[in-house]
Amino acid sequence: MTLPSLVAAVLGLATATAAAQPAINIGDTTAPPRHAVWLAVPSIDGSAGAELGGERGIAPRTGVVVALSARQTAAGDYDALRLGVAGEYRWYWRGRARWSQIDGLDRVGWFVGGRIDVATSRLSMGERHVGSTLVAGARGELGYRLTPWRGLAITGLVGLGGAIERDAAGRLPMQRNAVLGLGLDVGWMF
Amino acid sequence: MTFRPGRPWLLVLTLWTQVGTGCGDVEKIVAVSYDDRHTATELDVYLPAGPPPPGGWPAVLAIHGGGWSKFDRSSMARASERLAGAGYATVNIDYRLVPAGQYPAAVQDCLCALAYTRAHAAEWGVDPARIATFGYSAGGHLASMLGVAAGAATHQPDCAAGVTGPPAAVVSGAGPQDLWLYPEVDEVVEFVGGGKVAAPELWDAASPITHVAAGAPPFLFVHGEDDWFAGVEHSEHMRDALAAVGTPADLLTIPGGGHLINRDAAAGRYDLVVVSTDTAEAWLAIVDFLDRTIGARGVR
Repeated sequence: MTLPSLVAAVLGLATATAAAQPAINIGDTTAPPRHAVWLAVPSIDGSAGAELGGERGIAPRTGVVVALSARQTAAGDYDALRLGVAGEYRWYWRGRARWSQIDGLDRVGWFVGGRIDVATSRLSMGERHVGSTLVAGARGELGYRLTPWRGLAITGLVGLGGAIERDAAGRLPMQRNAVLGLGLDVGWMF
Repeated sequence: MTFRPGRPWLLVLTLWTQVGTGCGDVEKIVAVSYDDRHTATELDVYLPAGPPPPGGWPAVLAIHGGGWSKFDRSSMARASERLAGAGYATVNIDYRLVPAGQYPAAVQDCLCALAYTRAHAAEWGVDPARIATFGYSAGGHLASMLGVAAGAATHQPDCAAGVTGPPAAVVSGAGPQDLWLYPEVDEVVEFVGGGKVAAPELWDAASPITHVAAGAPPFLFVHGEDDWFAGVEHSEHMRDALAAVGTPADLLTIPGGGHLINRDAAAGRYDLVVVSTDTAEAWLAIVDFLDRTIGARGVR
């Protein structure tokens, strides 16, 4: 499967999942949405990959997140595809947001989260395998989610943490990197 | 687009990305003057752990970036430690910056540092025949200049270390290779020493691509595809020019990669790193290239 087709499949799955859900009832007594799916906007910048995330509410103002990512990380005379998975625990501080249009939804507004991600990639040059890497990171995140229209959810966040890079063949010493990341997720709550 | 890497927030980012990093067991020799006539011409040496192999360590001359006018060798300290940890003695240099470092002074300083390294190779356990250059941004430009233009009379230094030949291999990260691709931005004009109309011969002479000829050492280019400071076409054109004269030249581009801001491929975020060569895949390619050219794996 090529990267563009993989991205298309991921986006298609996200769209179909969101479309299959009943519409959000605004202003009535229907239970607020428990799930959210989204696309990480920075991950599609450059048309080289995508990260799809999903959140499930597990308690008042609390959600757990799982995200899957695929991104081409080398081109030119080389080729590499990095595949990643991440988990995050989020706690929404006040449970309300200025532009939230969903009654009773408490996973909006300011939140803090702890995230762990793991990714691996395989670098090749033509038919020659150059090497493989494993990247693992952990970060704290501060974000704000708003739902300005129906189930539309927009989340901006900043994360601070660290990551380690390990060369599978052991040619390079393990490297620790500090991480300062900016994120923007756009998705749907249902 | 102009170079403006001297802003305070960039300094903060530089420091932040270096927090908590390092590769132990590397011996350091710091603040060695390679040309006593200038205060800027100092270098640090990072030696791999243990005794050198027969013939000496393969080595890398690390050259920092900063638009030829900013930063110092501290920005290459982490890369130098990692290279030493991978078995490459690394000589991390400063050079005169603009205005004192106006072309060809910065090139002469880098060649002087290479000559000094070769002169002190036995002292440091380095193989003088297996020294590569590795630079980022303006340092990538200077690394390339040493690779293709060391023989030009105007580039040879008159320092005590004497004249020297080109390195055995070149790694250029996000380096300008054809200065004519730039508009007349201040940083380039001040480095070259004149505008395109007033001094076209200097824009030619200061561009690595002008000097490409058969017999150059092998090159590896690493470049972000969305680099706003030095577009990826610099490395593409240089790779093609070298290949046309039979010089091995490889290019690793980073989809979505910038000069200072990159995509965090593991986390779906914009990652505010300082250099686009500092990705896991780029490091694999760099060490693989060094292994194939100056051959650390064969002697460790």
